Amino acid sequence: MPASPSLADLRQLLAARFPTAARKAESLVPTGVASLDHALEGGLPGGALTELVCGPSTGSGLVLTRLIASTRKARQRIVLLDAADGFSPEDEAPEILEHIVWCRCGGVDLSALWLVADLTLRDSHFAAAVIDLRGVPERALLRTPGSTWYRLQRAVEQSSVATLVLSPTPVVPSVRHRFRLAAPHHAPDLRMEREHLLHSLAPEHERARGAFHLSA
Amino acid sequence: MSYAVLEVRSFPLHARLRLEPSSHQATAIYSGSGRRALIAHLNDAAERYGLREGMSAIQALGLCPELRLWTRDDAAESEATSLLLHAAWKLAPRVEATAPGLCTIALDGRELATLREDVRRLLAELPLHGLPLRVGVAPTPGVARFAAFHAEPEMWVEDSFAFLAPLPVHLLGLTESEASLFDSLGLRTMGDLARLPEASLAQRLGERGVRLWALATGKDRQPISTVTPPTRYFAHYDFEHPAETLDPLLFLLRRFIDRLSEQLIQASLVAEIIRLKLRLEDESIVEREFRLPQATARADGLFKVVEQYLSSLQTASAVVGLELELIPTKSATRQEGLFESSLRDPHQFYDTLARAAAILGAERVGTPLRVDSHRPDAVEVGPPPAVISEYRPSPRPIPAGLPLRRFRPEFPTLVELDGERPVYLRCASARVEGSVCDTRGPWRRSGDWWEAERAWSQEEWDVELSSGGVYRLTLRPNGWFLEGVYD
Repeated sequence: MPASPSLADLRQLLAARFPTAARKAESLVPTGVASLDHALEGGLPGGALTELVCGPSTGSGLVLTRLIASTRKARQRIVLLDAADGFSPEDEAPEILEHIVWCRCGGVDLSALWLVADLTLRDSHFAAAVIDLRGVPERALLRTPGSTWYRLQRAVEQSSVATLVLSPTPVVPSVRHRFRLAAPHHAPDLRMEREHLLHSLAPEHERARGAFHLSA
Repeated sequence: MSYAVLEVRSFPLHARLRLEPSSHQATAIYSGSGRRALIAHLNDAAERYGLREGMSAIQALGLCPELRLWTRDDAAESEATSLLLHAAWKLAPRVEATAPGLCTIALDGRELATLREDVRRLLAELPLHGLPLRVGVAPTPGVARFAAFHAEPEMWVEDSFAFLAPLPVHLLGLTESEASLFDSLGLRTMGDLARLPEASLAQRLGERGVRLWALATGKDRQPISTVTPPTRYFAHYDFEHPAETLDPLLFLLRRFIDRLSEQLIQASLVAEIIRLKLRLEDESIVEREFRLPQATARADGLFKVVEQYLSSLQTASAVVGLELELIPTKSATRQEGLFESSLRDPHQFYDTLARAAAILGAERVGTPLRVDSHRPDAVEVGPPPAVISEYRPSPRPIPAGLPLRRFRPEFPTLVELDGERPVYLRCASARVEGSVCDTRGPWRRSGDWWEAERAWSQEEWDVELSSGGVYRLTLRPNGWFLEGVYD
């Protein structure tokens, strides 16, 4: 049904007043994990934060490698903000790595990671960003000031970067989507093909905050 | 052939003022000492107080109590001379550093139309760097110098004799005895001097007379002594008063980087490393080397790296001196394929990386690269490519199982064994403890055994804990370590 003139006027007014909140078309970056992409209606939303809460051996690394492969095939750049410097590229083929900018933040203060996040998330050359907080003590994460998350959210909103936060516990207050990987894998799974393990991933969709879309 | 002379009036003053953020305050350079100190150069703000060159410093302070009185500064003048020479090389390659604030250029083969454009560009650019410039162009170096002296801000002389004839003879730089001699002979202008026969002046004043006559007639042909462009891109400065805040440091660094960046561009080079050295009041030194993710000569990009670092730096005492050096390399060039997608704004991208590198360290930001070694965790980062190539899947099989998330550095771990198999582990650093419910291994790996110092060997176990989580456990000659978690 076509929008009434008054509704269209209101949308225009909102778009003018809140340009970052009102996005006409939102870019999506597919993760390559079918269950996640289905829940996200196509992929990680650009200009928004998505959090994946994951315990040890629950398959978050699989999601990361799959996202890396997916963006590589699309020839999109991705920045990996690796808080504990845990990414292990030695098992991956070199040709799958060339689009990654790896920021190894292990051994430095967490505030340095937020500074680098603030810089990189504002760079439009990156289609996606992964803030990997796995391996950071929960206590340190929970001590992160609210203003840091707010600044992060603002940086993401002002760009079109699809941002995935991998965290051991729910920490991002302003997240658009939050998923949880709860079921741990077992030692025999190390012999299984990754494709099979990906099919068995069942992320729980814990939170979905609607974005304000303009249809006019 | 013609010559150009670039002149910066009151050069010692402008050379210092350009390195000071507050350049509008009344300022003067004095020479001599004590009661004999005389004002040698002063800026417009000082002139507004009625100060004049040649006035005693005490008298000047009486008229303007807030006057900044400075002495000449060799480092500042050297920096400004580099900038002036660099400007001169934009016109032609044969350049002479004639005197402080003065350089002469042989304009061999330059076309007049393009030369005029280049001169006007210089006249617009150099004042932005704090050096008000005058340019004189004439058929000989001597006439060009007089033209620069009278330029507002440029003067082009075609008929040397007509230009020189009305000029006062004292502009030739006469000694006292020469001045009184010319005065007694009634020689007031260069035209008066030029009308005398050359031989009679030679007879009276010798070689000096011939030189003065040649200058006055516009026939001087003294060859210029050319200088070569620098091969080191270096700048330094010692503060008169220690810098306690960031602003004067950044102001100075911006000046340095602007100049060095222009010199790099002129030499078709780019900087791959920035070396910064701060000397502190407590005699300690802060040194930092920034290896840029992508070599660049852009002043903005170079400055942001240094600015990012300094804005988070805290020193124990104030800064008394700084040194900056750019290590150049040749600019890499490649032709892109028709269908390749390159960076929309390479400068922005590499600026972002450089700033991230300034925060984390250059060895921590870049594209992951595998080192050609079987040693565990043999990875490093390199500069990201400007173009992401089309993806062609590798014939290598896709690794099975969960990817490993490494603990860097690995955590020392207490392990309880049943035979050779781990049955219980405790790692306080990783907050991991529990009984082992499943194990795979051991896998024995070794390498570099032919080099005693680099040789390595280890035994790897994959262990699952009853409390959850699959880990890689490693036995080395120095004990057990938790190497990572399969995630």
